[in-house]
Amino acid sequence: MKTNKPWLTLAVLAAASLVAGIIALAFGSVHLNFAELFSKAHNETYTILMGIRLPRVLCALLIGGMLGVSGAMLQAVFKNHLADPFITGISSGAALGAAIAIVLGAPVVALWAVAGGVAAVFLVYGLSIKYGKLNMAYLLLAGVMLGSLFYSLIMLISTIFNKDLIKVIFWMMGDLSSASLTTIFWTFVGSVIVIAGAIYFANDLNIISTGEEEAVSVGVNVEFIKGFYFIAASILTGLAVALSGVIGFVGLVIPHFTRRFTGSDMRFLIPGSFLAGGLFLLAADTLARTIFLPGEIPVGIVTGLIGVPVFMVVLKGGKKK
Amino acid sequence: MSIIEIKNLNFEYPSNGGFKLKNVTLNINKGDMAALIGPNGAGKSTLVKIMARLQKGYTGEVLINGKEAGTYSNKEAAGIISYIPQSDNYLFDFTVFEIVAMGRRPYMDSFGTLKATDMKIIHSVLEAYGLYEKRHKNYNNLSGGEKRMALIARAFVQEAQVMLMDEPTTYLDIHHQAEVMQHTLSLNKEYGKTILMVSHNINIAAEYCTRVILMKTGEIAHDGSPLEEVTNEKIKAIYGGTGYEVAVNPLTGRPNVFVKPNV
Repeated sequence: MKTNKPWLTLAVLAAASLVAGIIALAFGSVHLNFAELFSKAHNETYTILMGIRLPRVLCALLIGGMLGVSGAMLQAVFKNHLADPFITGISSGAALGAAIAIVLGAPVVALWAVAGGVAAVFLVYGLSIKYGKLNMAYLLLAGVMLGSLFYSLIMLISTIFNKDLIKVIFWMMGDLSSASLTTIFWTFVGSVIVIAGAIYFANDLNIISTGEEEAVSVGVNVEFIKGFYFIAASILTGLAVALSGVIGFVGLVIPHFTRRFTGSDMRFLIPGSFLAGGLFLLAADTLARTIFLPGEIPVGIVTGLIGVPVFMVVLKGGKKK
Repeated sequence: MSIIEIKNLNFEYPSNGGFKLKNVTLNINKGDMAALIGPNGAGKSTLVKIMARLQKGYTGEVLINGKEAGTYSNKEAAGIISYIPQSDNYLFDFTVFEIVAMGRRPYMDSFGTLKATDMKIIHSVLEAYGLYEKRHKNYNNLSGGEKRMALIARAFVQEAQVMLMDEPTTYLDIHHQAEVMQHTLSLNKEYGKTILMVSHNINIAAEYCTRVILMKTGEIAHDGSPLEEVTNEKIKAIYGGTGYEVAVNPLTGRPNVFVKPNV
């Protein structure tokens, strides 16, 4: 299924994101009269569109993109198909950082989330090294164990500080409804800088994904590149968690899905995962907020319910060569 | 002239208390076509990995062109020494071209831009190694022999003086063993590459190499030409056991090991 024209894949994904974004703007609990936009200076349609739907659509595209890229980078640097922001403990570390910031009333929650994610990934990596080599079984165990520990700590903090547990649980299932356009803009700026760096060093990541010894022998500065991608993945995940809580699944499956079309070259897989992750989360969120009108369900539920079967079909379909 | 000089090298794996490299002193000279042979656990692969700067934590000196190996950046060292691991499948799918092009890393920027000269070298090596038609194929779908050829091609485009090879003929059928070794020989003779290969195949070492280094339990036991070193006495002292004899290959005049069942 891999195309020899990865640029075409990127162009198709970008066009699909644009179309999906426009469609998603049109759907919601209130039927909008778009003609109003052009007939009155300030009207209800404009308010809903700019104040509610546009931030949410942009938020979904951005969060999905950041998580997709984060997963793609982690899978390559850990050389493991299961690596994603969840399994490496970054999501839960970021959530813990954000929870501490909220409880302490600290400004710029995103920085705390990023710091939590960075601490988590280096902790998991450190615990996974045995006799100087990365031990995959240790990696998965350390990630899952630390993830559980961080969640327990979040619950403990919420309980001690009398925060609303239900609200915390809802946030931990992912919530794209509360971000402002300003926050989304600055998160976008941050993510573009990180992703540009990630694409710049992507060829070295390609080589590392074939083996660290091989990377050293062809001249890659392996420790620097690994450190860079650990931090880059933590920043993207931390920003995503600060903006929308913990959304699982995207970081794991989007890189696998995208790889089938762009190939394994990270120079294309990174932008491809950004676009595909955004597109997927936008579709999931649009369903989450329209399927049980006038209410809505957490987007994390939809990503799991729709995403897993789709992912299975794509994986199975790809194997018939 | 020595490209790699090893003086009083000692190494012990933290995870494997029994294994040690003991006081190894060895020079790899420009133009060598050498094989490191010895039984399992003798320390051959570890010694080569130390030369390739892939294994740290040793004591003693490892000099590359007269300078301590640890003082080179990976990029500088990659211009002098290439390392060819045993081929295996990669986790992610890369094309044959992508895998071979990775050998040009010392000459690229981080983004991996291939210049016209890089493309010319890669294409000519792919053609010479019979891989040009398969350059867009998935490396993981190649046969064992083709994979080995692709990895040697990758080291070739790296344009390093020294090529360190870890068991280049293991798991290959006789046709591909001969093909891989013929290409390796040509790298030495036609292109002046210095070759050091770890091998479990004494006959391959004796037939293709001009220098055979025998290792046993972490030490260099013997070092010389195949005629001097591949003898019944030395091979049996190194490997132990019975059921084989060293005799001259009538086709080449070189010593080979032949199985000889005890009936």
